[in-house]
Amino acid sequence: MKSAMIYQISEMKKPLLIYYAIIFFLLLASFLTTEVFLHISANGTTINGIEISSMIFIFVCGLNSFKEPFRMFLQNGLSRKTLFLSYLCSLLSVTGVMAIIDTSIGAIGRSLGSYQSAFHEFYRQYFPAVGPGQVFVGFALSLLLYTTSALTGYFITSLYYRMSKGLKLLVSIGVPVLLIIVLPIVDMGYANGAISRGLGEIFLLASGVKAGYNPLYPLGSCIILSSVLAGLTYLLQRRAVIKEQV
Amino acid sequence: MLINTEDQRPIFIQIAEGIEDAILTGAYPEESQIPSTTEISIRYNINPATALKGVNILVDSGIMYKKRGVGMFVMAGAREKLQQKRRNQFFENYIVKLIAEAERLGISPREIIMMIERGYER
Amino acid sequence: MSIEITGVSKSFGPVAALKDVSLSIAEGKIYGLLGRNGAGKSTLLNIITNRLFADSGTVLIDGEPAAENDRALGKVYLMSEKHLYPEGMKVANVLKWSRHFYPDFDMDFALTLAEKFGLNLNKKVKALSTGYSSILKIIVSLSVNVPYVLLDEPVLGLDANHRDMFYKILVERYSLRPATYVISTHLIEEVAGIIEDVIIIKEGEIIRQESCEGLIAQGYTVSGNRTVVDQFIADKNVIGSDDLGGLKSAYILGTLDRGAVPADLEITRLDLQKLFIQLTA
Repeated sequence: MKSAMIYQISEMKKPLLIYYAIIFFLLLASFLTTEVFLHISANGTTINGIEISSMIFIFVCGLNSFKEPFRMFLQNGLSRKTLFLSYLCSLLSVTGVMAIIDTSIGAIGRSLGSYQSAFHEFYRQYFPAVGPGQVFVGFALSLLLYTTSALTGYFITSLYYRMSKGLKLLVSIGVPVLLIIVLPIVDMGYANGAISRGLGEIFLLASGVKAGYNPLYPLGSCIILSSVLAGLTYLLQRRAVIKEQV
Repeated sequence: MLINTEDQRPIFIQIAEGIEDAILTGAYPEESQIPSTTEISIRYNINPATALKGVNILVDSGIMYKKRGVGMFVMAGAREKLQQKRRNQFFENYIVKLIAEAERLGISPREIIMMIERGYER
Repeated sequence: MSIEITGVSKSFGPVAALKDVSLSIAEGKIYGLLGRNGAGKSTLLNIITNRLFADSGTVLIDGEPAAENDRALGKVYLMSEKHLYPEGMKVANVLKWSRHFYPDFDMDFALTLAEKFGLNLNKKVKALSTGYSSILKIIVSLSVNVPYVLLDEPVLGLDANHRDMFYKILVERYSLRPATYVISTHLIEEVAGIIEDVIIIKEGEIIRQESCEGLIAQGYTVSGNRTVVDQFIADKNVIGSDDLGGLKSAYILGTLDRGAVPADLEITRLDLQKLFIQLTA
């Protein structure tokens, strides 16, 4: 298990270093050109979406974290259970480090006055004053959002691995068609927009907007969502097999 | 010594006979150490168990003996013993076959004897 | 201490790859797993190592179920025809990680072998030729030091020199540190001397499992005039025959009664390859 974790973390290390190299480069560039930014944004704040880019980055990492380690683990006599557990543990350490880095960037940025975290901006109502509580909630929220995001990618790639070629094609075309064409038609034509309103309600509830921009709501939603994703992913991986040479 | 898996004799017999040949020609003198079964199996790409089986035939028939922790040695008097054994087999292995082939070809006993004499004159 | 396979069946869609296979693989022996293409050799090896799941039946490794069991699976190393290392991984890192995952991995030995075979440690796995890919797998297999090493077509793409080197190193390794080796190969003649026991698999079923010597001793070839041969083999277990004009060779399983052989028939031993061809034809 220890070797398994070392392997998983070492697999994530390289893209992580590249990602933060780029982020720091961009931050430095934007810091040097702050003057320009300040002039452009009329109200004097620049919203820097570092959390959003981190979420996208870790999602893509999740997408690429199954097939190769799975084969590597089978070659080295390790079970699917170990694969899954070592990924979870490694992921939590990586998202933890990312959340720390991103929260620190936020704190430093704030003290320099030119930076405002997207999350803090969003939940400003609840935490009007900057304090340790706000920093901690910001950290926890980053950690959970990143973890959920990565697990979404990990779940999708595990699902695709288990599907046959035909099914893969069907899902790749079917799901977007369903979401972009069928759903709006049904919603507008038959349900009088009840579906989109319902989805909106769920989002507002899950993100804590309904509860007065309460950041504890999204924390809870993330925990529930990531647990469900992790559970489903494990069910998929439990019976995964190698595909060639049989 | 040559080992051939397509040979008519089982491999362990080939091992035993190969060592016997080497003792007869003097390649392995009496009281000298012969290669270990590991060395034999690596040299001829054969299973160590097979090599051991071959060597054990020679130990059982008193051609070789084991020195614990050292290895296998050719017994004193082994060469004499082997010569005697091969002499006994000579009739079965060569003469009987020779006569069978001669009969198939219609060669008379007199002609065989003449051929043998000619063979020695060469 | 052994690998026990009991009642294992596996189908791929309509194709039954393994049919109720039961097998015992003992510790410290070299086995030959022989079968024609598609007979189910690779499927069997992949099920033992839990890379595939059997439809039914069990695999026990030293008494423990193999499926999803790190401790049991850690005792086995399977070198499959296509390895499962990441394409972009460097050869040196394959060795490094092998040592991580297999605590008894002998790095010094692996590096010695890499030098002997001329394997470039800085190359990426995907850049290796078929031959050098086999060499990498051979090196890991011989260095992992686990009780059971399963080799599926180990000499694929190797030239005669490298094949000979591999057999020698295998025998040497086996002599110094006995482990179970299961060699699945098409080149039967080359391994005939090395293997102690033979497992013959045909169309998903084990048709023979016994000692190599024992199997060979069970059969013989009788050749001569066709009518005489036909008469002689009438009441025998004939597994195959070749005709050449008026001459006939018949391959027979059973013990030979030398006294009952007519004078003009010739009796020869069957070799493993011939026996295999006749048994699996």
